[in-house]
Amino acid sequence: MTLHDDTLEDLFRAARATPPVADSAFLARVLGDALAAQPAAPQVRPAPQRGLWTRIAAALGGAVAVAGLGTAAMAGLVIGYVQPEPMLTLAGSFGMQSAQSLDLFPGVDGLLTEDLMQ
Amino acid sequence: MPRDMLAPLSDEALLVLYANGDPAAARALTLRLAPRAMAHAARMLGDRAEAEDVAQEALLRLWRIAPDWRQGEAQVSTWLYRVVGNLATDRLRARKRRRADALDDAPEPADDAPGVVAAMIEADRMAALQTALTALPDRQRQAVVLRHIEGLANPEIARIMEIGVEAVESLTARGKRALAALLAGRRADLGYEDAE
Repeated sequence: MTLHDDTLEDLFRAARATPPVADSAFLARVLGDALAAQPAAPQVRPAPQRGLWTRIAAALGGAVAVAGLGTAAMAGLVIGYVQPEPMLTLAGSFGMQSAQSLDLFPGVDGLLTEDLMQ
Repeated sequence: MPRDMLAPLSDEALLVLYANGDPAAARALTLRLAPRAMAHAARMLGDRAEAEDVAQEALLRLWRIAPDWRQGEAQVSTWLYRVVGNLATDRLRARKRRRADALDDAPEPADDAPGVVAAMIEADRMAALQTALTALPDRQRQAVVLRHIEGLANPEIARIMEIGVEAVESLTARGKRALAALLAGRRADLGYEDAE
């Protein structure tokens, strides 16, 4: 004679409903193990202090951006100083005639010539 | 991290937080996994003190491998059930060896059945079921406990026991037949009227 399937299922159902309960002392032991074996959290270090120029370069977009900016500034200075004919023609075509009367680099001829009338 | 925020996280995500040194994750994992491991060990061993030792040892192994846990390869619960099952089986084998040694000087037979019957007379239904479970072969007991008491699906049991699904079905079927035979004639002791 064997037990009916429904009787066995009933026993299993009752067993599922009443699992062995873990007591607090057992849980405390397991937690103690867990904390003792736990790797230490990685230390968070403050970022090293950066210099003024590094921070300015970073604000402008990094070293590449600073290099580009420097090149553009130098090109502007050279063009302004040399005033190549094509640039003057181009400026004139835009109606910027006043550029011809603005002498940003006055000559030094007046300093080198003697006043013969004296 | 606050405990409320950890509740919806998977076991694996908690294990990653644990490995990163989050003490709240250690607490959350302990409360989530330790009762499950202890309950499974208790069903396997039929002894609460031994079950606690086995569960604690299995979880200690989990804490130690946490930093090297390979995500996506296995579920934490599957791994834990497997380790608990293996440790419990080791204990049962050691227990049988000790009993065999002790029986060299004793006139009692090594058969489990008289012990089962004697226990059922005085025990309640759950104790009778536990006694009958303990009398099953180790693999059958593990399969029956995982399927019918822990309520796991056959594919997960197959992963835990590292066997095929068909083998799980065979083990649970044989285990149930053996349980029914062990508990036969005990309907009244188990709280059921014998209709036959």
